[in-house]
Amino acid sequence: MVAATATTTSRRRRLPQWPRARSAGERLGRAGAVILVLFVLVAVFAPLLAPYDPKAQTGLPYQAPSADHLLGTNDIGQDILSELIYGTRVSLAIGFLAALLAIVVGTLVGVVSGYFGGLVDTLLMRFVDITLALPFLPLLIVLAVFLGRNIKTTVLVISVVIWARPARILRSQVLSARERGFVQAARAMGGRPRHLLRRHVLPAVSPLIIAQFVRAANIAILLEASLSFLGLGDVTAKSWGTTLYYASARGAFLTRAWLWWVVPTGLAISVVVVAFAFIGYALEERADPRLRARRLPTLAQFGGAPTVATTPVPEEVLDR
Amino acid sequence: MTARLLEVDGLSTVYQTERGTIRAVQDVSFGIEKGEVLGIVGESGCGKTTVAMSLLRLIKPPGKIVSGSVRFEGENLFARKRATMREVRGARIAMVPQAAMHALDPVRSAATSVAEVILAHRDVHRRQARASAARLLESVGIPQDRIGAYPHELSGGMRQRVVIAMALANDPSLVLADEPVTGLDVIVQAQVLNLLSDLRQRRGLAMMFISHDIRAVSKISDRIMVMYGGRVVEEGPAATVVHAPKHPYTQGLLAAMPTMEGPRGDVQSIPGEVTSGTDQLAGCPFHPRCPSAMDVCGREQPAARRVGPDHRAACHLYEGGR
Repeated sequence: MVAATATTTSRRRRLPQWPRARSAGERLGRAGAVILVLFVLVAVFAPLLAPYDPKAQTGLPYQAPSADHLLGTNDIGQDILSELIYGTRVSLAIGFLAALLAIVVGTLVGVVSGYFGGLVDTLLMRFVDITLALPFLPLLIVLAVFLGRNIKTTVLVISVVIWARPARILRSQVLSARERGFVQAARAMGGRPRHLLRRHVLPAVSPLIIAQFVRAANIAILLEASLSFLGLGDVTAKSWGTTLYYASARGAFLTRAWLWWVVPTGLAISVVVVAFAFIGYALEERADPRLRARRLPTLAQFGGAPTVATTPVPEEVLDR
Repeated sequence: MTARLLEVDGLSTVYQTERGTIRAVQDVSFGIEKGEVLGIVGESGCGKTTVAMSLLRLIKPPGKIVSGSVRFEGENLFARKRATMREVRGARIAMVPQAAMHALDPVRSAATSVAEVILAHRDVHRRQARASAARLLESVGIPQDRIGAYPHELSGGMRQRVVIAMALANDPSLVLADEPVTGLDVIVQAQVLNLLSDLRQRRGLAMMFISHDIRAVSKISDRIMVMYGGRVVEEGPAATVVHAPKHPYTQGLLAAMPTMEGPRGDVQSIPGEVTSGTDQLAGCPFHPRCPSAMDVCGREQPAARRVGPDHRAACHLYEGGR
């Protein structure tokens, strides 16, 4: 009966209700999430939001902002605002896909390396070391030039450059996770290695995987912008970086056009990157509660008055 | 003697560290009959857990089993292929690991944890495994409405019961219980001990019960083996070892425990610390702390000697047939 009342009260407390942020990091994380969601919505609903087809010539070249073209037009008379809106799609998609690929590979390498150890670990980690030691921008450029310009290779090239870091970080977490009591216990009870890895080790490190994914997506978006800015992106799918490349190549910096051609796109990149950074910060804080020490949660945030544990003496004890 | 369930002979396990080789278990021999409970007692670091882990060949580098043999149900476990040891662990020999608090995966409910142990060894449908898990959990005293609970929703005693249910899941013939009642408060300790002796009677389970608490061990064991510095110093029937201990270390262990009966006296501690095992002492490992140490003790390792019916001790005091 005691248990029953406890369940009902806790159920009542669990009614959907927006919980208050418990730390500065969590507030930043929420702000980041809101910003990111906005950008994702823009990307998804680009056809509805954009005033023109970004590939169509809808005005005279090099127009300053006007009622018709809020951010003016580029060198061939395309609407820059529409380009920015559609560019969101390309930039975010490449960022997410490259991060996903990098995290899948990084997780696989990190988990296998950390769990099995020995020669496998040594070989994989030396390979990671080499990847980490290579200067990534030149590597990126060389790979991009060799593999050609299209979205698939851009995604591939970026993930080749960024998978190593999550691999290394996950390996270190797996090293500690595999020594956790329940993993050891599962081994003593005869669990298969695959079962131990998939069902016990992986869930134990999953918060870190998510944090690493956010970080990787962040870096991927920046790298994509860098590549495209250097003219190594896919010219048929204009991303933010591509817009900047054309702005620079067609002399936007020589006139006042940089104000509407370069600044909005640059801002979009910065804001998305900052949003990712905020989310990453909050996730890392959650994964490592020691980072949360800045402001301790008050009792009220734990759910009201302190409840003293009043464990009733089990009946079987009284029987004896 | 008939074929014993478990026969350990001359087991030695070492850990190779940078500071030298630690001889965690040295030349340990013992046996367990079917349905018998053997208690292993000793201070932290005396090799109790290493013995249990060695039986299941769960010693990982830098640890290494250097010699000895383990015969279980007539089969030499050390001759098995490493990869097939998995079929023994949790199926024929089950382990109740140390610290049940940490032995449960926080993201698995009690029933799922037990069901997974069944699925690891038997080719049954998930639903069947869950049904047996529910029955098992009930038999160890988890109420049916709690079997879906997660570890953090369970008390220490409940968690210990879940871990015991996991150990019993595949009907093992031997259970290695490593400190199963350590860290529980006395009432819960008593409950868990009662549960274990219950299960033992109902299922005819043989058990190796490891603890540093000689009184807890004596409540459940038929025989007690006392270890010190990786060696067996005394072995005999539980009542004899507790009431008429022969080895000075066993006497010290018993004196260090407060008792409820008899005249009130001071609790004694044993001076000094457990040997680290790196520096290989000549002679008896206990002699630096032993109140009745003699000259020989520092020179020669005492051999195990018969000191009573079915009762042996490794101590120079009993040299020369006393």
